[in-house]
Amino acid sequence: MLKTLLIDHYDSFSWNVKAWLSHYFSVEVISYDDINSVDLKLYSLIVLSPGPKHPQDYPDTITLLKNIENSQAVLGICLGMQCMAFQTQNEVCSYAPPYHGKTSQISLLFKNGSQQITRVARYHSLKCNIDHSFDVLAQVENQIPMIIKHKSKNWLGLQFHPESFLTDSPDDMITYIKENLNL
Amino acid sequence: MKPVISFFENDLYFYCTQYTVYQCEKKDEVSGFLKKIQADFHDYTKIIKLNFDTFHNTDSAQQKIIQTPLILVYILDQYELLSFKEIKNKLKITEQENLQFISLITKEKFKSAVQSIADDISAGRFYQINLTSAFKTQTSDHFDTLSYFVSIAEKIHCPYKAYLPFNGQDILCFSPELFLSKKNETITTQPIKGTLLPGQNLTDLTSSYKEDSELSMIVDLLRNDLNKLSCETYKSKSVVNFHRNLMDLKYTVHTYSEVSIKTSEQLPEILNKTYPGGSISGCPKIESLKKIAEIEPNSRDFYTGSIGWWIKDDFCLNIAIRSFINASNEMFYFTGCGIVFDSNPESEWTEFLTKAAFINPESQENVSVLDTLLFKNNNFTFLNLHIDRTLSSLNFYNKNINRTILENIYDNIKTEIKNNILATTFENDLRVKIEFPLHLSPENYKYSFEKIDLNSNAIINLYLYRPTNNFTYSQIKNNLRLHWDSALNAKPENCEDILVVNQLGLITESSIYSIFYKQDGLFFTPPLNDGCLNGVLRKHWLNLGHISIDQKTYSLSERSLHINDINSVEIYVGNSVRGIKKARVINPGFCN
Repeated sequence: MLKTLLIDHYDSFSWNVKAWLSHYFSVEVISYDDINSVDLKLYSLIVLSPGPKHPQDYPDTITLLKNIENSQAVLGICLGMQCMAFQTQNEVCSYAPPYHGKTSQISLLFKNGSQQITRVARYHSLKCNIDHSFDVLAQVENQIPMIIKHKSKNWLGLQFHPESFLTDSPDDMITYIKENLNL
Repeated sequence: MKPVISFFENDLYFYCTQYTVYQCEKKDEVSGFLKKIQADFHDYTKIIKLNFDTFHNTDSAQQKIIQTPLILVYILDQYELLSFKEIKNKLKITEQENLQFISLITKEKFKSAVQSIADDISAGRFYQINLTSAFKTQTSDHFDTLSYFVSIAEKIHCPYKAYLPFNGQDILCFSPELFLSKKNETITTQPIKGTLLPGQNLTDLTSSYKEDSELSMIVDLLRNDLNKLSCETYKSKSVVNFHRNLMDLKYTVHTYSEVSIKTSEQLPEILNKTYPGGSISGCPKIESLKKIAEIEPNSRDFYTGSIGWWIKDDFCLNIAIRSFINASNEMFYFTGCGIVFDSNPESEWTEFLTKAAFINPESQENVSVLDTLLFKNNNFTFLNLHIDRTLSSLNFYNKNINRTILENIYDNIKTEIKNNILATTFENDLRVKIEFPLHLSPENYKYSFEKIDLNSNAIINLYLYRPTNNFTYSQIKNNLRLHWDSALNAKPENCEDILVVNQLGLITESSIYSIFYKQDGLFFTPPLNDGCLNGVLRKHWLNLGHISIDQKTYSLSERSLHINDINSVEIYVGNSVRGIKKARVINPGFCN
């Protein structure tokens, strides 16, 4: 199984992310506090966990994204995706009313051309305004990006929570992530 | 020994009067303590209590209104497994006084706490927080917590109830919520979120998008906490067994869910990874715990911790909510609400009161601390004692105020009254009433005054009265006096006042006077804990140790008076406005 590093931003869903990924990857979890003590090259996939507050409260994650090799596969979930947007100078701003423990439908387009409408769980008070560096692969009402993919780096960001029990078809989500990160 | 009572399963309860208690007071010793209990008492039946902050550090700025050890473990020597009915039959249940619980948080402060949480939610700090507070009341020495425990347990459905006595502090827990149960390798949790409010239909709860997402968040949080547990052997992850089932508690209805996982870990590690419960902290948890320490003025102690049993490797722990603790004639009741972004501060306050409705609480809006004084020769009589009493009454309800501020308030009133008298023709003595509404700061006092004629020396006729129930004995002078109005209706025309006898047959007080009695040449007054108001004249003479009547001085001390002895004493009544007067009991033949 592919070696995966999950960076935990003091979140209460990180262990759900680990449990979800562990069916497909070999996952190690480290706290944000230890982010500078690991060798990222040892891992095929880096996952940035969800977490409280704003990307600017996690300067070490922003530095990690700045210095990481373009080919390194990175999956950002919620705050993780916001960190990707923030590091590339896309705007991350408040979103009222926030979506907490609520679901929306998004459309996933797979490599074989099939399209799948799926229900995903949302927990966010902030939103990303993407106007460069990324392609928006899925969005919900009022152009709120739900999935973003970097144009030149191997980064994929999910605004929703794939690990939530409210999210449908976790297996398909893994296929989708693998396809987009060339894993 | 007072019994330990705790839920077991299938409506059976542990009942035990022979036990040994072990306690842990320090956070850095928690893990070692639990491992040692596990090793030394593995096969014993144990009842365990853990405080909310057993596994994390809280802000030391929080006030400790109660204090119990972080962990208590009762090792049961001999115990019985009984139905609640059998327990009731075992206990000597007596009718208890009515308690006047008063909210320690004002509606205004509660609503601003809700708003402050909502602001942080907008900033992405967390999704949900459980905001809690306490209600407080006084209890007399003869208040029996076991009887009270049974009376509340009969009013409400609470599968996870428990009664734990420890060093004169009794915990009465009426929890409906399971935190964790472990049977063999399976750990199960049943978080509750969503409450049916007064006037709502069941469909309002079941179709509420807000209540749905509140519970969903906590389900994901609990899934996370269970996923922390090692399950290498089982390769399993947490499973949601059901979501949004209804729980009917008679006084309200909740929605709840169930999550489980298989693990090879044991209680000390399991609690270290999952504590405290998600439904009573917030999500994400670490940030929520910080906020709780910031906005809740009082530390939660055992409340929202856990109580339950632990036998071999299995255990079952509740979330210690809907709980009371009685210590040193003070009793607290705690409750709380989950706050999310779309929480309406007004309806959260309603929910807060709804969860406390079965104790008939008064929110602070209705309650004032009172003082009545005599204004004579341009001064208040017994001024310092009046200020002392008002100060301690306000302190009881956590309205902490500097004595100097209170002195200034009394001084301002005095000056205003003097100016008023000059402008009118008042020459008589005045009875001045000052009110301090609890939901406002003490500077928002109100006062009124009236002429009073103190020249009457008539004997006061007292009608001996024993309340059947719903009577409140208060040491604190406040405006909650409806029970007096109905009691006074019971007296015949020829009596000026009533003399109240408590459940134990002891004389307490009249509606406006303290009682003094002469027996074998000495004077006595009933102790406050028999159910008497902390009267200023009573206090004045007790401080002196003697009482002066008709130019004679007698020694004075506190002693209970039973109604059987009423014919052998001379009764006097007195207060700081009207002084002391001879009294006569009209129906002294009355007895139990």
